[in-house]
Amino acid sequence: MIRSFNPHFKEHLKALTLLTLLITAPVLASGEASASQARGVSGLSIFLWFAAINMLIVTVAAVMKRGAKSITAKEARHKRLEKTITFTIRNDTIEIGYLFDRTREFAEDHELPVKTVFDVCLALEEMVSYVISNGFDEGERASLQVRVDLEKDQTRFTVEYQGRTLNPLEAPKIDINLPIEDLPLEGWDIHLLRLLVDDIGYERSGEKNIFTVVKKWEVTGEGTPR
Amino acid sequence: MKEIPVVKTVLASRLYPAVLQWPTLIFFVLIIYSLLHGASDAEKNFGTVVTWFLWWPALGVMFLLAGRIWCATCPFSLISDWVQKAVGNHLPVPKLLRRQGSWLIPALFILLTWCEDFFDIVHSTLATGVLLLAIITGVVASGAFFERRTWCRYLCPLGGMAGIYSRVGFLQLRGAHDKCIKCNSVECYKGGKAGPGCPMFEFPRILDSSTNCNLCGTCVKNCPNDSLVVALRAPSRELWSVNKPRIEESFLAAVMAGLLVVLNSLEVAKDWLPAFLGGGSARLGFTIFYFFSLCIPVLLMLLAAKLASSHNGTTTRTNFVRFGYALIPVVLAAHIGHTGREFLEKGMLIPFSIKSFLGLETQMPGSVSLLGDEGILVVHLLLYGAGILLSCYTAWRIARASYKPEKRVGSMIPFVALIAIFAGLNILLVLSAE
Repeated sequence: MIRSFNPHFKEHLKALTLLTLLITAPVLASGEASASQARGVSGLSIFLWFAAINMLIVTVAAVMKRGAKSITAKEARHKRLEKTITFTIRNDTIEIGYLFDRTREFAEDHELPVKTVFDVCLALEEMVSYVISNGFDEGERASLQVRVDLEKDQTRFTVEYQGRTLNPLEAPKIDINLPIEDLPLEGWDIHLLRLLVDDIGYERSGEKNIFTVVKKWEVTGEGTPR
Repeated sequence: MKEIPVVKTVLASRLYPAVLQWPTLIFFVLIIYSLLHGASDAEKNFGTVVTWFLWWPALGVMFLLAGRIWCATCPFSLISDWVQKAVGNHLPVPKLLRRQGSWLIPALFILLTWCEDFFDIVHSTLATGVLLLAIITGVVASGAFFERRTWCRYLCPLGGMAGIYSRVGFLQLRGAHDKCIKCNSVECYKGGKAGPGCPMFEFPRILDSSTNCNLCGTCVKNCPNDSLVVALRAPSRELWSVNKPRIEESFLAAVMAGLLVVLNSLEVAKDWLPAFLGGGSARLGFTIFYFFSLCIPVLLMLLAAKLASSHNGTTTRTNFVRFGYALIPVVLAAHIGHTGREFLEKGMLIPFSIKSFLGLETQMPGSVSLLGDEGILVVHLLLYGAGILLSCYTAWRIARASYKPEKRVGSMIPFVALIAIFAGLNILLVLSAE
């Protein structure tokens, strides 16, 4: 039963035992032989107090993990009905990793093929990186609304934010045939985005920039979102 | 910048960083043991001596030489990985941490440093032990519930300091644009055959700062295109080529400056300051003095930014954010000087505490210093000299990159004055302490 809950149980148990031994063995072994018994008892009680807290944390995490496993399938089925996911992030490249991970989970929940999942995540990463790097003044703090729609045979990303006009359709193209020392340092995100996606759209609505990108999935006979 | 293939080979090795993490972990276990059960005199205890007189002073030097290399070898990261492997729930990082993490880390660092002085942790073996165990608890909780190394990236109190200091460092790791542009696997971030992806939530392909690169080598091992480049660079180079300067980092630089003034003041005034701060309620007095001292450099930097903005026409905030980075080299010099002083004054305690821990020696050496007072003073002056030069040069490069020729000198002068005030005050305190 435990093995079916966690197939790497043995390996994990080994790691945990080792960790516990590494920290507990020296302290427990010292026991009464401590140079100062009063201090020794005090040190040991502190250690045991922390060990108990840590064991509690680990136990709660293990129970949560087990619970999560049993509800994941139900949630995933529910999520599959949802073809859209939205995020609100701030204009900081720190957020890109978060966006990448969540989009990856979303795409995986919809059982897209592995390659499509990463094409989708990569396109989104480049799109948001381009906006964050070019859409704001120095030190300006702003929020971006990011929306990912899974459609019949494509993914549509929309990024909306208030900021200065930034039209990706007007971004200069990079001539990659230039010698490496003449290649520009900037503009690679939009260059890569153009290579990765099938359509790029832009609209300025009042103070808002609405940037849309479409990535069609390669037809492999599998991976239509369920 | 000069590539150093040998370092890249080390980072690509399967043995790295385990070959460093394991000895560090064993050492760490011994330290915990010694702190909880060893000699109660901090100067005789292996744990306190190694933690405060060896590791802490070495940390600043490591940041200068090789960025956050310590983070790659830190035993806490190994513990976090183990717990994550065993019971990890890999939950997304909470919104609060993602949004406010860059402010939370400086706040935790300020709190930690206050605790350090308030409870005199450096001179208490049990308190040092409790501190380390408390950090382990945080690491275990973070590894048990959250994804990647949430602790190291968003919570480690040393992370903010490590981040800004590593920008001064000589070593950098970056993705090669020409190779990354052709890559559609992103194994550096998502992980690959060699293991999981970047534990610090970074995309090496767009990495433009060393703040959150701990040189763990996972991206180097995973990259199928051999795109990662490890290179030597001029110290502080990154400070004047920051793409997106952050107010949190500039603020932390100013706070660190204040902190070093506090620490150097305590060295000078340890005999009379407690009485001056309130006698019986000295702890409250210290707390007020501590937080007030942290505010002064921030206010001075705001004043400098205001003066610069009246000259160059950009906002006070923009000047504060941009030029805050210029303070980092001199703050790092002051930091190395302050912590290095502990090492130089008490360095002989290290071999003694090791021998004492092993039961080989119980008699404390007559002299514990590695260098005389004059020697320590010379080291301080050399460090401050280098720090001032580097900070002023950084301020100049920032001004050159940001403003038209006629506005550059006027923009940088208030910050050069600030650098001089900070360094001068600290030098004065160091001289008074001798």
